[in-house]
Amino acid sequence: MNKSFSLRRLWLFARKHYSENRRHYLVGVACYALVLFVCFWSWLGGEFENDVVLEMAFLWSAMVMPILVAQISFADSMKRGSRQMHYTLPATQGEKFFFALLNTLVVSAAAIAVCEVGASLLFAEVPERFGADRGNSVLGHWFANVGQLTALSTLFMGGAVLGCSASKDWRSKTWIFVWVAMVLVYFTPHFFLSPGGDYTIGTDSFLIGGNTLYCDYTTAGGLQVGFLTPPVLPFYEWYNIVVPALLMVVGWFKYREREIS
Amino acid sequence: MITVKNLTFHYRGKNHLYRDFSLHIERGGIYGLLGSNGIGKSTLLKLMCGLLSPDAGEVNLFGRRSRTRSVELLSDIFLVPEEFELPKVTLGEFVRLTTPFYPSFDHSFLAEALRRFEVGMDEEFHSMSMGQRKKAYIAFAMAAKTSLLLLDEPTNGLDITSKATFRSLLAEWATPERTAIISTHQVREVANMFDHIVIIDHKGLVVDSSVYEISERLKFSVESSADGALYSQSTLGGYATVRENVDGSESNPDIELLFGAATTAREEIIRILNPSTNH
Amino acid sequence: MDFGTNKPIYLHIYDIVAERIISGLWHEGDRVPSVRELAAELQVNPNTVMRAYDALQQGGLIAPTRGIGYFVAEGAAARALEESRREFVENELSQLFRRMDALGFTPEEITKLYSNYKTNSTNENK
Repeated sequence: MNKSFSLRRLWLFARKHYSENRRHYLVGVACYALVLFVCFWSWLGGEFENDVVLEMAFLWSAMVMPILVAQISFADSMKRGSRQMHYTLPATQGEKFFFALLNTLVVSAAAIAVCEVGASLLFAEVPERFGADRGNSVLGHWFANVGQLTALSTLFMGGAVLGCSASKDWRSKTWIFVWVAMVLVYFTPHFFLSPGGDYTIGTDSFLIGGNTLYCDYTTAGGLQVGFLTPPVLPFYEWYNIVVPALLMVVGWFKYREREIS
Repeated sequence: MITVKNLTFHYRGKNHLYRDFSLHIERGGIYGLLGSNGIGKSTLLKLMCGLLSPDAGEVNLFGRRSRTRSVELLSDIFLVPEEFELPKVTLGEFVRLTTPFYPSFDHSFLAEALRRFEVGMDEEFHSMSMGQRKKAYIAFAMAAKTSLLLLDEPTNGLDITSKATFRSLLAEWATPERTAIISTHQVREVANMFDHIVIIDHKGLVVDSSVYEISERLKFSVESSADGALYSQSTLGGYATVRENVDGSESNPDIELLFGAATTAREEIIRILNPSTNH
Repeated sequence: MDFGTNKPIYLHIYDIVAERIISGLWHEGDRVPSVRELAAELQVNPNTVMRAYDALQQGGLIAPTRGIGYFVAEGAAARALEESRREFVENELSQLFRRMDALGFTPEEITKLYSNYKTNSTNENK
């Protein structure tokens, strides 16, 4: 067999992964379908003033799904009971990591695509049923732009891949790592870039307006805190490619370096 | 085949398990790796597979650093850890999915081993008992026919019949091209299978000798008195003792007694057996 | 397999094979199990069986046929029997005699007891 990279081995590895993790994928797909269904259904059934519910669907696909998919992809390498077997399986580390990475990217992208397709079908319904104005205002939101969503999600994919490659423990640490990292990544630049802030203060737990993602908490002293995306988040901006790629490269080194006790 | 050279290793935040430790393992043979709890036996096995890297020194397998985790090395090693989780599939599915990674895999050996262990291919891993799972995985490991087989406490959790089956299978598995390293506390269960004994303690290597050398240099016998013995255990009929073999008698090495002697009469044992190197 | 006394395992295996030859379980010219087969049966290291086979070959009880394996040698049964008898006289019998003497048995008493034993065992076999 080829010493460095073997497509055949990659295929065998993929086959093994999907067969052994069948249940996780089925449950994952079912849960995701349920989330989307609930969000879309309640949006349709609601007053249309409440976009939050729709925003939830998009956020879920852009931020949560990459983390979940990365965790499934990297699970064998992280879990105490299976990691020795994972790292001693005769495939190159490159093949193992590359598969997990590719799987994360592809399945996350598929999740986003499903959400977008579902939303566009929904939006197609709206003008017909309820008048053109509402549909347009929704369509104007940034999150309906596939590029924006993908750009956001790639950052979470990168973060999740790094988190899964570097963390010693399963699950909770990955989540914490990624969310903390993302908060830091987004929060800090915004303060430097536009000290005045370009965000809307709202009473919902999530509010999206303009180009920012804002999470609102009012502390006891009346101080408002939030985390925000950089003010501009178009697709193909250099940092949407470079930063995730960097995170993934660091993830690769972490994966390779990992000591399995 | 395996060269451990000046190995120094510790887990973060813990004491050093190995300091300037060296050991050489030849191709062909069944090695017993013995030592008290927590001394670092499992760690040594993991270092040999490339799961861990040394702080200093080298762990080489077939002349190459284990830590490279290269495919050629990995396809010729199999580790059965003391504890492990198997995926949620049937044994048959697992075999179908995993054997392609092991070029030397012997399906007929697997079939025979499973038959003797009484484990079925159609059974799901998660519906098997722990003992069944262990037997299934050990059978798989042996059938892989890798040059190096590492077993960490293989008889733990096996019933008496299964232990006997394990020994039989190991005897059939053994060839001059393959090496098995068995780390265990249940010495009696596998003692007759060993070609070579390695005993480690906190100071380093104490014993690194073939069973043949041990039988030549030490005398194991039941005597009425324990005077002058390196180590003894009282039994029916007197004392089971181990002494330096001065009269050229041939006895069967009692590995448990040897282990006791390695603990209580460390320097003597080293002198008598002349192991390769130690600290 | 529990080999009991402290005799090296390979000598135990030697005894086992000799016994099988004497008892007629293995006839002259029969193929002897391969090293690996016997090791698996007795649950010992194959190298130990190899040592035993070397000794058995030296003792004239088994002989190798190139490329096929080991076979019970011609005249092995007689040789094994003679060896067993010699060993018995050297070890167990001298011990037994010491005890008999200590207990005050006369040779005539012993002969009579043994004759009775032989008669009874012949009757049982009928």
